[in-house]
Amino acid sequence: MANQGDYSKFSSPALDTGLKQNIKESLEGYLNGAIDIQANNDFVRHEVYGGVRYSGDFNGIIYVTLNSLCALKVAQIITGKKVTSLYDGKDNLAFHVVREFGNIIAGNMATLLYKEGIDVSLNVTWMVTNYDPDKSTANVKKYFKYKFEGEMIQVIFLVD
Amino acid sequence: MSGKNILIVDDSPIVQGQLVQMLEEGGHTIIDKAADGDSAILKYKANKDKIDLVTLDITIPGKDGIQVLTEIMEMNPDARVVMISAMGKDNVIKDCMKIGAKNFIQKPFKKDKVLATVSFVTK
Repeated sequence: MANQGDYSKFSSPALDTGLKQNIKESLEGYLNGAIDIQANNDFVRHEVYGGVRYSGDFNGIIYVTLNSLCALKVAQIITGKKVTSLYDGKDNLAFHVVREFGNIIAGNMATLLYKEGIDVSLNVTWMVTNYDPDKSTANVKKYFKYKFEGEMIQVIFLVD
Repeated sequence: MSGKNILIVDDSPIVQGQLVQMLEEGGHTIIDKAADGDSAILKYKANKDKIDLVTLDITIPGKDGIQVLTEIMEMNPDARVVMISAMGKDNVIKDCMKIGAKNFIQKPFKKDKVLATVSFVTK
């Protein structure tokens, strides 16, 4: 793994632009709606997190985060059903939608990274409810933010 | 084109639901669904003579999609398997094709693409 320890690739503005655009296109493809890239790249605290761990040339985690209202809206769009709760005790549709959301975003990011010479593979998706940037030991932390129908969606890219 | 009998392998109930809807609307029959590699192998074995096509996610719990593909091709060199993944890396796609996959669909997918791929692979 020739790249381990060399984080300079992640400082490239061209990579950031490529990742932002790649995520935007993935979101638009998944949600069938217009997505606006937000200029502000500061971390924003949300309620719902879909996380995917990756490994390969580099290891890390990709999170997709959104508030509960947005998660329910997304779940309704994807399933075509009225979803009123993230965990409804039955099929937990909203939970699974956000989980798959994270998988799709991470997968498309991995494809772009591969084209940039960084080869990573994804692990099975899981979901967490908390991420604290102050406690994160990642060497690289990037926060990409998007607006979808007035709601904020955030993608957090962490490199160990 | 007559409807085909399809085994769906994906650990996401959302993706399973989307594929079931798309494929049934396209006139196909879903023989069974599996959410992990081990049950995918068992279900393929149990329905081998009926299954016309398998849709197979690469990142699944237990045996991953590539291991499942390898075992299916060993059981049946004529098996028709379409790989599905959120990742579209050339090296992974080439590896799957070398093992015997017939096509590849990247997520998020649209109904037209899924049905066209099924039609192409099963003609």
